[in-house]
Amino acid sequence: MSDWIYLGDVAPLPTDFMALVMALLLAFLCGQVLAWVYMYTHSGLSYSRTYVASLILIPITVALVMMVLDNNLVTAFSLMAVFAIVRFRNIVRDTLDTVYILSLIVIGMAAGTQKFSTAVIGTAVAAFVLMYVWYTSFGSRQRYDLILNLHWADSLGEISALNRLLDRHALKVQMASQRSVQDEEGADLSYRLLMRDPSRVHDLLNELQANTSISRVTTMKAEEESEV
Amino acid sequence: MSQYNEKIPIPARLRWREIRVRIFPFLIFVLVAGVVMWLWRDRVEATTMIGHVVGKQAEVRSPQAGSLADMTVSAFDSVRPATSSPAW
Repeated sequence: MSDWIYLGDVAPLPTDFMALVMALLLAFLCGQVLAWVYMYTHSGLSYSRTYVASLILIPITVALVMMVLDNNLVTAFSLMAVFAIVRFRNIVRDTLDTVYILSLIVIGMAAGTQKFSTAVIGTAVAAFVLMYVWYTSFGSRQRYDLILNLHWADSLGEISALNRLLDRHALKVQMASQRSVQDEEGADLSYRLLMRDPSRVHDLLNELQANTSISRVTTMKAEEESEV
Repeated sequence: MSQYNEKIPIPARLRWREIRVRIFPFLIFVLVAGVVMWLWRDRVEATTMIGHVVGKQAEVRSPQAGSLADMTVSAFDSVRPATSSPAW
């Protein structure tokens, strides 16, 4: 690192820059681990991708807060006053938006307490993580992009032919529901598919309709529904 | 019928999206974990001893008010008391 970054913090207490970088990266790792746990264990309708992204950003912001506070009681009290800005006559609905504001407050505090290099490094790490979250669509659990409903007229023991056909078109096949009627062969089936090529849905429909055991085929596109 | 057993090819755009969304986060995680491990070994040291340092202190005072001129010493130079008292 060049001199300007080493000499950039002119606050009374010196900053250990390697410790600062390590704290921010460790916060990123720990946040990502918990975000993954949340992604894979969350059940229910309230799943939000931006909330998962904020799970990564919040530890980084808090680590930066602690580095900026630097055991300074005066700065700690002023931080509480500054955080009140977040809700001042303004309801921030998206969690990620709130994280942006918190990050900028802390970066502003770093600049205001003459920790200029800390502000630069904190901004760089936060910007990198925000770009990473955007580029990888982090938090997206897109498990399927097509809902397929159909009636299977044969016995369910013969359904392997249908499964082969679905495997040909889809990376993932998940049977969501199966409705059978007593004393009748066959069943109403509903599948969730992650298509190998979403532009070839019509090929799938043609092949399904060519099978005499299949009728009442309906599809619905479901791209990242409820994952805002 | 054999053509119906062949898998539909995945377009390059979708294949790249799968890499970007599913593999890239693991790669970044491993890369950052490596950097953190390197920094941890290099920087993290537990406190095993607490010391207390006291610097030398000296009181300098003048019996009369005035301004000091023609200083012939610089900062951190060693000085000794004069052998004879100055004529105030």
